[in-house]
Amino acid sequence: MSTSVTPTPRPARLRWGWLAASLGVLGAAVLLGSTLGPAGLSPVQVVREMIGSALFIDHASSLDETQRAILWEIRVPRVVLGGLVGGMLALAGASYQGVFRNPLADPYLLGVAAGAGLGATLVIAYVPRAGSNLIPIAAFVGAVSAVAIAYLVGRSVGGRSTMTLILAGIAVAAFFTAAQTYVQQRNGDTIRQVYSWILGRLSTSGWSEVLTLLPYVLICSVVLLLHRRLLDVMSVGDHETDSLGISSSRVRGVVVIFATLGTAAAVAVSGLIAFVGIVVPHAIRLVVGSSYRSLIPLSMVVGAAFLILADLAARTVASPAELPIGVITAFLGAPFFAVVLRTSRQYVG
Amino acid sequence: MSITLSGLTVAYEPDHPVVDGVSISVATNEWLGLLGPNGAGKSSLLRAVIGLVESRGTIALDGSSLADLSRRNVARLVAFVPQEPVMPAGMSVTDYVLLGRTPYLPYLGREGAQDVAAATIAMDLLDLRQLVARELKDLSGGERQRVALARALAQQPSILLLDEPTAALDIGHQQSALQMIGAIREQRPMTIVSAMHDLTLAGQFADRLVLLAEGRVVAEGDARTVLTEDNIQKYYKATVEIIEMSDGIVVVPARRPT
Repeated sequence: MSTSVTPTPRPARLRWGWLAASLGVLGAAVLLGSTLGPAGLSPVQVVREMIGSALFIDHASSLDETQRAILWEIRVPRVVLGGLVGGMLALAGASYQGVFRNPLADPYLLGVAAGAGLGATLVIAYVPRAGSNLIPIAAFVGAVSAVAIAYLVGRSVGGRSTMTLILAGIAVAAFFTAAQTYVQQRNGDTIRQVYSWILGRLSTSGWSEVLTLLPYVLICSVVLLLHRRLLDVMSVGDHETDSLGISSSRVRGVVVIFATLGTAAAVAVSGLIAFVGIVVPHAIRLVVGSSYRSLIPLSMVVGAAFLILADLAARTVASPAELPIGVITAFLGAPFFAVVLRTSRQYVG
Repeated sequence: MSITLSGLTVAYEPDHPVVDGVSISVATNEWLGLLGPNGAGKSSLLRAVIGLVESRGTIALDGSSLADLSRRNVARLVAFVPQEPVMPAGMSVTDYVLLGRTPYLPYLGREGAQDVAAATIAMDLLDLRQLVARELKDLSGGERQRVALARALAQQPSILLLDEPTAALDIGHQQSALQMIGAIREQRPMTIVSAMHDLTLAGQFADRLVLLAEGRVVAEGDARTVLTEDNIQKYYKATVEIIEMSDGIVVVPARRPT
């Protein structure tokens, strides 16, 4: 005899099991990133050193002073920077995909990359002496300016609909890219430096880049994490979102502002690292489903782990030479992107 | 809750109103059927009532101007089911129906037990309990229509606006959907305004009909007053025969003489 069971409605919640698993992967990535390299630190030594430092126990570590300096002044800052940049790019990518209801959107959709590229190129070409100090500031200003112009252009020609904004972003990006190419061609001697910046890198000088980026990532990620339920609401379209009592243009504005600020800050310190913002959210979407309640926090954690591991590959695959990290992410991301295109047909029609 | 529209005008382009000075009153718990050929302004009128498109004139809910209500408060009073609701492919039925609780949540808040309870009642009213975990992409047309209605009911509205609620359904599902709306109205009284294409079903289910043409009200009243052969010929450019039945009228398309 069979008995019929009445199913209980269970709303989507953060998938804690997957979050724990991804935090485990992030922990492993941090350990690998801090351990592997020419200095020959052992994982056990690194773990003991980290635990000892966390608990303020000096004698827990077996590292000598040089190894400690390598760990805390070179390896760990670079790993933390990779985590912050990767987490921010993946988080911004997932957020952009949510507010534009387009699974193929990435953090550079509204012209961040083109704006940052122009800002960095202008400094490299015309203020070479100020170079390393001024490039991040110019890249940040360029990135934010490009998105602000795209937003203003979008509004001036027909409101704040997603399609208008995206088209305005494409137009602004094309213009900034043309300007960047022109400046680059007029200053041929700087092409190598410009390309080096465009392909991305996580080289650090101590903790300064981390400390520059950290406030942006903290503030932007908190705001975006708090909006994850609203991103689920936005998935029914602007009109239906509005009919549910939420201003879709307000949500889109807030999310775009903070995703852009975080992306601009990340790009300013790392250059243009491609594919993280699109590949990571998609990989997670394939595993845990499309609810932004899980997608947003998991994108951040997995994005951090992904870029730490990509950076590890960038500095060890051709050691002692170092590959641009953008080459690694694109090398992994491009084939995955093709898979995403196939699986995304149900969303984009 | 009553609705009063006075001189309502909606124009997407200057000097080309799609709704042109419409004045209608809908009594509390009345079911008003909005009729009219394609482009008559039915959908625009419904969207104006919930503030989704800009309009001129006044819209009052129980005498209070819509313009004085916040977007959130409007959503607590009025639920809208569009002709083709957007249904995110990977979302479950439960999560979709729970979106109807959004007007009751703080901006950055999330659903609590009382919201899940309200959504469950809405799903039970529409006989969706067996589908709670199913993804929207796996639903049939009839199931999608019921799910969209359940989301609207989860808003616990006093007014339900339906934009051609049966447009995508076969005749059997059209009938059962409208009967379900009627049955829900008996359990939970509410004012309904629905744009409808099927004239016979509109006459059978709505309490009163309004016929729109080129954005204006051209006929208003019960089915026998509005659904005349002359009106349908004049405004739909269709030749029909009206058949009187004991419980209403039936509109039958008639083949034009060649």
